[in-house]
Order: sequence, then C-alpha cells, then structure tokens
Amino acid sequence: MYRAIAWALAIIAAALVQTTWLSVIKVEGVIPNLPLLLVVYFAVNDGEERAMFTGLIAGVFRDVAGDTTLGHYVLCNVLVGYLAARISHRLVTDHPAVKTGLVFSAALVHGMLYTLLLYVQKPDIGAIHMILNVVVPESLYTAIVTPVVFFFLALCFGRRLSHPAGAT
Amino acid sequence: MSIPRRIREYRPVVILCIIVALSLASLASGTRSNIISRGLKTSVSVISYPFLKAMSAVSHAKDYAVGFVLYYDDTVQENGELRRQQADLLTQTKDRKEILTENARLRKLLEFERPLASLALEPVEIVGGAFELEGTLLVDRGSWHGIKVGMCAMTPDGVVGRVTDVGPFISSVSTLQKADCRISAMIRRNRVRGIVRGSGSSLTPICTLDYIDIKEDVKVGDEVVTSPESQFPAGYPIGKIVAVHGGEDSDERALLKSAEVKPAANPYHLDELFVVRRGTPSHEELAGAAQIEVAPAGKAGPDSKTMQERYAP
Repeated sequence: MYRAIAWALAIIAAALVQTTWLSVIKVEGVIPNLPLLLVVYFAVNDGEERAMFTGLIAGVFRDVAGDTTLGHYVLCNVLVGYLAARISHRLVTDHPAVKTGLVFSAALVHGMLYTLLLYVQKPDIGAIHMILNVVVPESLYTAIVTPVVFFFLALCFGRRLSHPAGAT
Repeated sequence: MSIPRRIREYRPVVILCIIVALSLASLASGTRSNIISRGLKTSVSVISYPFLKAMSAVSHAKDYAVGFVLYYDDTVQENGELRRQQADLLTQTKDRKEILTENARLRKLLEFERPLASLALEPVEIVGGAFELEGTLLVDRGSWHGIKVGMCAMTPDGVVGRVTDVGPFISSVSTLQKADCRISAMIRRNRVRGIVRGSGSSLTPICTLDYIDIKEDVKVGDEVVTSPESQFPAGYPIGKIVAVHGGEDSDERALLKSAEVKPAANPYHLDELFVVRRGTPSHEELAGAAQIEVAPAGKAGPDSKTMQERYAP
C-alpha cells in the first residue's frame, strides 16, 4: 500500500517538476524527460503493468498540462513502458551503462512516436528536423541524468535495481 | 483455455491494447474541451499552482541574488547617473517655472502696452535694485534711447515714479519711496486733488497724499490715481489710502489734511517697467484711450471749483 501511494506521488511529482521546475536546467531549449525515466525505472523493476500505468498517469498529466490532445503522451509513454519492460527481461546486467542505454533507446522511441503522432496530425511540421534537433538531444540529456535519477528512485522505493523474478 | 484465464495470462497485453485503443480514439476525436479534459485541466492547474508560485519565487530570489552580487557596481553607477539626471531635471523644472512666470509677466505688460500705443510706452528692464539705492531704480535705457528727465515710469499695476537722472545708456527712476518724487494725484471716487509725496525711507513703502482740502471726503480704502494735471496719463492707479490724518477732531484752524497711501506697484518686486516717452498726452489722445478713465460727463468734479470755493472755511 505504502509503495503504491509513493509510486503515485512520485509520478505526479515528476510530471509536475517536468512541467514547472525542470526548465531551470534547460540547455539550448532541451530538458530531460523525467516521467519517461520513471516509466523505464518501473519497467525495469516492476514489469509491464506498473510501467504502463506509470506512463498512463504521467502521460495524462503532461497532455493536460501541455495542452495537447489527450492521449498523445499517454500512447507514447505506455508503448515505451511496455517495450522497456519486455526488453529489460532480456538484460543480464545491472551496469549503469546498460540502464543508460536502455533509457536512451526508450527516449528515442518515445520521441519518434511523439513526432510520428504529431506528423499524422500536422503533416506540415518538419519531422526530420524535429527528430534531429529535439528528440536526439532530449534523449541524450535524459540518458545523462539517468544514473542520478535512478539512484534517488532506488532510495525512495527502498531497494536497488534488480531484475524481476524470472528474468534471465 | 477459458477466456478469463487467457486474459489473466495476457493481462499486460490486454491493458496495453485497452490504453492504446483509448488513446487512439482520443487522438482521432481530437477534442480537448470535453468534460474529462476540462476536469483534468482544472486538477492539474490546481496541483501545479504551488509549484509555479514556488518556482517564480525561487527565480526572483535567484535574479535578486545574482543581480546583487554581479551587478552591484553597475547598479551603483546607474543609481548615480539617475541621481544626476534627477538633479538636471529639477533644475530644468525650476528654469521652466521661472520662464513661465516671466512669460506671464511679459504677457501682462504686453496687454497693458497695446491699448496705449499712442503714449509711446518704452519697455525697460531694471538693472539696479531699489533697496540698495534707497528708492531709486536703474533701468537699461538712457539718452541714447531717447529717455529724458521727467518722464514717467509705470507698470500695469500702477505708477512707479519718474525719471530723475539720465545717462547715455542707463537712467535713474525715483520711485514713490523717494522724498523728492512728487506726483499730482486725485481720489478716483470723488476726484479730490492732492500731491503724492514719497516717504523718503526705504524701510516703508507708504507715501503721503498731501494738500487735501480739510472739508473733502477722504476715506481709508479710497483709490488714489494720477490727476490730469500730472505728467502721467490721468487715471492711473497710484495706490490706496490706508490712513487719514487731520479732520474733524484736529485743529479747527487747519485748512488741509493728509492721507497715507500704500503704492499699488511695489518697486522692490519689479523686473520691468514702462517709461512714457511722450509725457502728458493730449486731451484728444486721452479721450481716444479706452483704458483711461475720465470724470463722468455732467458731474462737476472738485477741480472745477474756484480756489475760493475750495479753500473757503
């Protein structure tokens, strides 16, 4: 029960920080994707369901706060959470570089999905330009802050990152 | 395998499918202002508000701290510059007020001069004060400009005095404070004649109206103006009577009484005045000057009485 409340609070706090305070560490207009880090963290630690619900809540919050059509971030987060959870079953190491790589890949997929959805809705946007100038830098920035965020998440949720039972 | 068991087995996939389907439906509809969206937006805005306020406060505090540390010298310099600008502006404001005052004064002089063009009023500027010269004003016109001894000096407020000394470029005007300044005057109300004489003291502006018939009605507050017998244009204000000496309770053998007159024009407050170039204007000119008051027609003034009538006991 305590873990579930902490989980919900962490998601809302991450979404709030993402939409308010995170602009403080903006670099060339790029900020890390904090909710996505939570999605990947819970995907690695708790499996697909927790990752998808994390993505759902964080996505709804960002859709509403960002004044985008409801479902935009939700779809991206949920898909990325599911994929990250599926892939993390195959990972055999706890090395930070592997987790950073996973986050980078997840952020890339997330950004491309987001751009794809945006492109479907507004074909006149420069999708390639957006991927090169926004998605890739944001993915890199998110990957860079991964060790720090994962460390604090591990502290908050009381256990170190570990593979779920049954992972090889 | 039963359907519920199959669902439990593939629960993550089922959840994924449901969420993806709902998201796609929402994206396909594209609506942002439905009830759910508005409710969520309200909730998010309420939750976000403290964070935004805190962020704003932190941002202001950071800007203040950074500005205090990094831009202190610049701020001090800017403050000094602003102070200098403020001092300059204050000076300009004072100058402007002075200019406005001067403008109003000159307008008044101009309005005074226009109707009296036939008198050839010469505007002059006072270059020497009255106080230090005990009632004498130095003006910036002299014989070179056509000024002559005996010319009258006046302002829109009233008579100032007479030109008593003329140099090439500067002349002296004896004001009503000088004892040797005498002007033939009358009381506007009943045209009783007299001679206004300066007090001779720079400490008091009060002058005296002498040679008033003991029988004449003279009251405090009566306005004293120049008489037609004077070199001044008739009817111009000299001052007001503030006290009367001699009368019913005085010596019965006295034939004359006097009155104290407070001059209308204070020479200590003047910057400019007019000198009347042509002296006493002709009767025709006086009749044509609308500003100059004359006695009402059909009413005999005291100046029409014979000497015997005026001074008989």
